[in-house]
Formats: sequence, structure tokens, C-alpha cells
Amino acid sequence: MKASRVLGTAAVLAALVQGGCRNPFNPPAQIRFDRFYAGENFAQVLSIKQTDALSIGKDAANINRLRTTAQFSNTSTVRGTITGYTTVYRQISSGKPIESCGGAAGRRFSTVIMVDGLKSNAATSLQAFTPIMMITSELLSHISTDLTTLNGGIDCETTFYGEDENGYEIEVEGVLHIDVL
Amino acid sequence: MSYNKTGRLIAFAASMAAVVLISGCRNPFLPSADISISNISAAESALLNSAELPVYNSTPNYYSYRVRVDFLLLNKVGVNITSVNIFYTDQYGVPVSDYKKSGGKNLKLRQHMTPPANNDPNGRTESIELLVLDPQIYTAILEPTLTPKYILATMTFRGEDENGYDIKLTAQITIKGYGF
Repeated sequence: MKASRVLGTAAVLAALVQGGCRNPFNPPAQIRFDRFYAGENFAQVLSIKQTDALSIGKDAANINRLRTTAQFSNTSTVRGTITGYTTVYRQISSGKPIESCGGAAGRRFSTVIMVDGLKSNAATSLQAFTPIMMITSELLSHISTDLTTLNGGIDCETTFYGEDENGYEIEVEGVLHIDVL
Repeated sequence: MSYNKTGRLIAFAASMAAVVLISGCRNPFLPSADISISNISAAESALLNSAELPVYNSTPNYYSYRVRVDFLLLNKVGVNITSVNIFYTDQYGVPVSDYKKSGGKNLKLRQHMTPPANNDPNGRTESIELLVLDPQIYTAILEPTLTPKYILATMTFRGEDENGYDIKLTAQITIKGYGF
């Protein structure tokens, strides 16, 4: 009798330790970043002609050419919300972050992306697709003026962050490559 | 009264006290609304269905730049939203536009949000449309001192649910200037 009580207490303590003193019945969401869909053709990589870089940023009709859609998956029943993202723009030719686009700290943008949780066993994950505008006018200016962007293009290293409905932080990462032609 | 009965009474009183403490001395059978902001889409970029608002260098049709905020209600408690504050800052958190004098753009409204009528796990979505981009904000984007050409708009929705709990929901979107 006494032994079973001790074992029961130990089990509860173990659950608390494992859960970091948080309720183990309120687990964190299992949200991952899957991929980007870039430009009009929803490609893995965004292509921008250097000679077009300035002009496409001036006309609203070209918005689809600058659009990037982010895809997230949630494999848990816990819903989460992405509230912002930070992008570091790295020039491949030098390996360094582009200073005019925020340097090593990158640029922080705010958004609202709710990634819903599973509600049944009918699927193994739920996807969320959200267009984001990480291609800024500053980046387009840089591409149009710096000829070395032709040598390898630019990587947009993006970190999405937010919080799930059980209070755990969400932080997932993805990279979009821009081919400069 | 036997020892067992006394023990049970004490345990019952303790559990009731715990319930009262946990629920903050409020009736635990009248819960607060389960509401959150589920989506934001900017009308001009409706094809984007995105919370980011790209603005181009030509006087915009402000109505076409309206922003729709979706709220997701998951339990059976309805909500009344009664005011909205939109606070505009630059990339570095410094307030911008004429609204900095008034602590942002403040507006009163009355929007009742009906809860789901059954146990639908998807809940029910209600919306509010706002003109986040208006002439004051467009003027602020035109300012040469605004570099980079981003404005962060923090929207705070306040109100009360049907059980008397205060509601405060906040979301932030980015307004980005192109071709300025």
C-alpha cells in the first residue's frame, strides 16, 4: 500500500519535472515550417531579373511576382498563432548579410497566421498557407544597384515566431533563395 | 459524527475553496469567452489573404485598402467588442503619423460576436473591417524620414463577453511601401 503511494507520488513528480513544472496535459503544439511557394509559378526559388527589380516594385499589378507563400503543418491538436517573422537577407557572393536590408539583425515584420490543430484522426497533419511579403522595396533597390547579386543571388533566412494556445513559444525557420538573373 | 464523515466534510470544503481560488472568486460555471484573432486579410491584397498591406506610390483608394480581422469563437459565450485602438510605429518602435498625439487611432464601435450554436469543433468566425490605411498614414509613408518604408500597426480590440469578463485582443500587421 505504502509502496504504491510512493510510486504514485514519484510518477506525478516525474511528470512535473518532464513538463518543466507545466501541466503535462497541456502539451506544446507540433508546428513545423514546410516550404515556401515563390512568385507567380509557386516555385521553390524566386527569380528576379536585375534589370526589372526596380520597376516591378512600382506597380501594384506585379504583386504576384513578389509574393511568397509560407506553408506550415501542425501534427498536434493544439492550435498556434504565428505573430511575426524576422528575415536576414544574405548575399551569397560575399556570405554577408545585406546592411541596407537590416544587416545581421534582419528585418522584423508583424503578421497573423493561425495554424489550426487537428480535430480528428482523419488526417495526420493540418496545413496553413499564408502569403507574406518578405521581398521589400529596399531589397529590390539593392538587387537593382548591386551587380554582385548576379553571382549566386540572395538567401532570405526567415524565422517565424509566435505562441500556441497552451502558452508555449513557437519558433520555426525557413530559407527562401532568390535567383538574380 | 464519525471521524470519516468529518474528514469528508473537510475535504469537500477544501476542494470548494480550491475551486473558488482557482477561478478567482468568480462563478466557475460562467466561464469567459474563448475568443482569438484567427486571420487578418488586407482587401487590396485580397488575393494574398495576408496580414501584410503593400502600398504603392499613388494616392490609394482607401476603402480598397480596408483590413478585415477575423475572430474565432470556440465556446458558447458571446462577445461585444466596443472599441478599437490602432497604434502606428516605424520599424524601430517610434510612433509615427498625426495619431501619435492621441496615442493612436481610437474608435468606438459595437460589434456583437455570436458564439457557435452547437459543438462544432471549428467554432464560429466573426469579422470586423477597419480602414487601417488612411490619409494620415499615407502621408506618414511619404515622409522622407521614414526609412525603411514600413509601418507596424498594432490593433487592440476591447470589449466584454456575455459573462462579464473583459476582452482585450491584440494583433500587429505590417504596412509596406513600394516604389516611394
